[in-house]
Amino acid sequence: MSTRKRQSRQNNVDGAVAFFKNAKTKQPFKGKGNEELLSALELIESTAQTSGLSAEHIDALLDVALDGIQVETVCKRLLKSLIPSGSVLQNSAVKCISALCVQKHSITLQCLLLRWLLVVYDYLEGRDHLHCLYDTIFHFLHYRTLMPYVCHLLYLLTRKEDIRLFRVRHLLQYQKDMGTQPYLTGLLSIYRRYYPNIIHVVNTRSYKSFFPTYDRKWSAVVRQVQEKNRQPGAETNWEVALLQRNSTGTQANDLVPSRKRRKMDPIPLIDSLTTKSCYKRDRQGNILGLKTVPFVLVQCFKDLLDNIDSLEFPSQIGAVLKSDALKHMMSYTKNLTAATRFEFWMSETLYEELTLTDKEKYHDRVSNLLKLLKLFGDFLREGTPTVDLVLSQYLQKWNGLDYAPHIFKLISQFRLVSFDALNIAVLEPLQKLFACSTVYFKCKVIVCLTELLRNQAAYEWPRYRESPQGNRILSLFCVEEETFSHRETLTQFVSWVCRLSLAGSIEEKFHPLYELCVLDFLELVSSLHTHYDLPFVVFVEPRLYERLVISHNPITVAKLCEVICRYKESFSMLKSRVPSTLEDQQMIRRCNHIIRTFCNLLWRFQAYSTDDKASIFHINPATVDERLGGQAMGESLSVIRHPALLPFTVRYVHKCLMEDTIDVYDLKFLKRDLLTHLDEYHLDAFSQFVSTFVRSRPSQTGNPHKTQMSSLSAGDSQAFGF
Amino acid sequence: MGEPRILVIGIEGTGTREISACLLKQDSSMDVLTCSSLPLPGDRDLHECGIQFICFMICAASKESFQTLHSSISQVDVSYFAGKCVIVENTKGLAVEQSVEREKIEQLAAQYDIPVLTTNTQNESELTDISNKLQHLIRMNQGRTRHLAPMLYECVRETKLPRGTPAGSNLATPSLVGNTT
Repeated sequence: MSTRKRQSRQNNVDGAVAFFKNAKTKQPFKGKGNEELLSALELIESTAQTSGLSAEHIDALLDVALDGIQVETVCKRLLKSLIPSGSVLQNSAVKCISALCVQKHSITLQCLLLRWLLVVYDYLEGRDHLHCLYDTIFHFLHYRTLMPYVCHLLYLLTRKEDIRLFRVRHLLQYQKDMGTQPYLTGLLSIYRRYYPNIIHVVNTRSYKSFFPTYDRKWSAVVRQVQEKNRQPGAETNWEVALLQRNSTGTQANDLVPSRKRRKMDPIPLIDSLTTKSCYKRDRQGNILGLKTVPFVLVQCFKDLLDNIDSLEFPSQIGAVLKSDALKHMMSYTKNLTAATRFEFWMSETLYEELTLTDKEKYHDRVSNLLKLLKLFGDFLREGTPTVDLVLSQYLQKWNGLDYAPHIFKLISQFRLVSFDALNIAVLEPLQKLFACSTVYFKCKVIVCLTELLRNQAAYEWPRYRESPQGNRILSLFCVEEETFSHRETLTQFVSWVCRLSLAGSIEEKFHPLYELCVLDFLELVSSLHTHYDLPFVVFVEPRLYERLVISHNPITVAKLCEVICRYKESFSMLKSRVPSTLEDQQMIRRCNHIIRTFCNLLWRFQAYSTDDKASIFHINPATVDERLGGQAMGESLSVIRHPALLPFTVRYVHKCLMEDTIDVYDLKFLKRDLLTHLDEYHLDAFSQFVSTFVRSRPSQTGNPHKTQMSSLSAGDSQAFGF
Repeated sequence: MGEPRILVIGIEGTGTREISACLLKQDSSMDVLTCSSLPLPGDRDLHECGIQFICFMICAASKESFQTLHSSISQVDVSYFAGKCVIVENTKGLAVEQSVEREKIEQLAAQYDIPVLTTNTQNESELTDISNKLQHLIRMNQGRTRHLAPMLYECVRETKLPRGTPAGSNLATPSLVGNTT
């Protein structure tokens, strides 16, 4: 419709409304002389059907319908035309109720008034004033004709503070007199929801069957008009409305769940069943004498501290994900119900959001939920059992792409469980994707598993250790724990990750990023005892070290040396604190073997040996071609000729020795200077390794490159005195 | 070594065509054959036809595709179960409960020790991703990468639980309030 037409129509509607407002005497409806009335009425009806009436017009026409000047037919048609284009004034709703009190109108008109109020209820700009008339509205239950509509209206308006014993008695009496009526049962069910202990109503019906929609067509027209008039920023209006509802001091939300609100955000708003104004009024004590303070009244951290023992959790426990104050409350509460409620809500919501929603349409919403879940876990410093359960089911069919960053973060918060359970839930699905994915995905998996180990060492392990013997672990959530060895779990987990890393490193062939991720994991493992106070040290798969030491990346080799030094520190500290077990001694032997291998490789020019047949450095001298040259082969992985360090050697020769050709034999005498040269490039791990494990003995023959690992004592498991 | 020859098995609607087209788009030297079920027409042997890798397609919303998968798998020679086949579950972006229960697919896959990958062939990026994954497995299978074989990752696996154990069944379950354990 063009602007001019719209303007002219608006002027006509104003005129029509003014016609009715200015009418002081009863006007004939039938017969002659009523053309003006009919045309005004028809104009109002057609405008209402197409674009709705403004709030002011509705208020004015309501006055016309209620003042009794017009005949009842006109009044009814006017009431039927009160279709709002936007909102309806609160005052209009109050006028309806006061018209009922006056008892001037026929019962039919009174029913129509209530029906109109129910149709436009969702579009009232506020319901405070209407709620203040709760007592008055309750009184109209006496009128049986009005009872269904009055029950429906009361159902929508009822809050916890409205429930009084005398009202309950009245309702039960009505039910006794009239039999079980769906509208009475509906109203009693809402009373029961607040006070289940005083009302026992067997209720198997749903909201729709309590109050069947009498005016479907009427409601449909109102909805259509509202949709048509909705501005482009409707979603913003919803957000504004949500923000207003979320601010303290606002009224309690409708009990009828808002589908539109849930579609935008699955995380509910903080809501209590009582409001600020009603709480003050009922401070004397309500029907059950409860003295809890509803959480919606908490406005700052001081309020939380002042009412620390008497705060009541909100109706929708899921709101904890967005409220820092609620998180604090969850962390200290002894109320197990809250944690159980949260777990129940979380399992349903997370399962629905991950598996039953359209990924493309609601990607941001689901990502937001997962992000908040991670933050909640970080705050509590423990994972949620139901989240672990849903995640483990989701991982079985995860494609590695959907919500990947968030999924990895949630995996890292997995609780400490037996290795078999962890394997089925997390490790096998990840390994399946690991085997057929790119190197970048592999890196993400290794990083995720590193964080998981870090989390379990930093938070999960101490939690189990601090729990009293024989009692359930210190946890917010009530979980039936299975008995398992935590040390064995962590040890098996580390071994598994090392095997996976080894397979990955064979496939990715010295990819620098991948090797760095693996080395981060090894660094963490080597410092579990020193940094996280775990009472054991886990020494990983030796083959992984052998694979990494032949890398082409100098940082990889350097970090590897650093890791070995950390192991030395860890084992020394462990030995001084606790007596070493058989397992510890086996690990020490393995560590010794690796140290010996590295020393031979890097420093003593003896890369290959005939000892360990499983090692990659094992050779059978009989099978080696003479042309390879025994000595040169042994030097091939030394600090001078290692593929990763050769560029540094060349630079050292050119810059420091000022020579154009490299004489490997001469360089053997200068290997300590070469280490100093490497320090300048922040590769000081080599110096650290050599100073820790290699003791140079002054040589009598004048050959300084003879070194001694004097502290090694082969076959003696007690000797660990580097 | 020759060109890799892959067989994609799946009934109409499981995304067989989309997967095959994407595989060929990425590597035109590949020989991709399709069929709706096994045995092959003329009762030909898979080895004789030179099939090096099998991809079973199943649609989450189609029980018929699962039944076809079940009957076709039993016709495959045991040598293909050493990393030479894979099951691809096509969700088709369904945001509703699927007809075929996930546990049944997993049990069948565990019985034959076949990995199950999930994708949505109606989404371009997911289709490309699954195609990359299949290429990866095919290359590994063909031995094109030195020191790399399907059994490499098989050695990483470790489980003492029976195959096909549902995920989460061994996790600690949240108990009701009032349970004093």
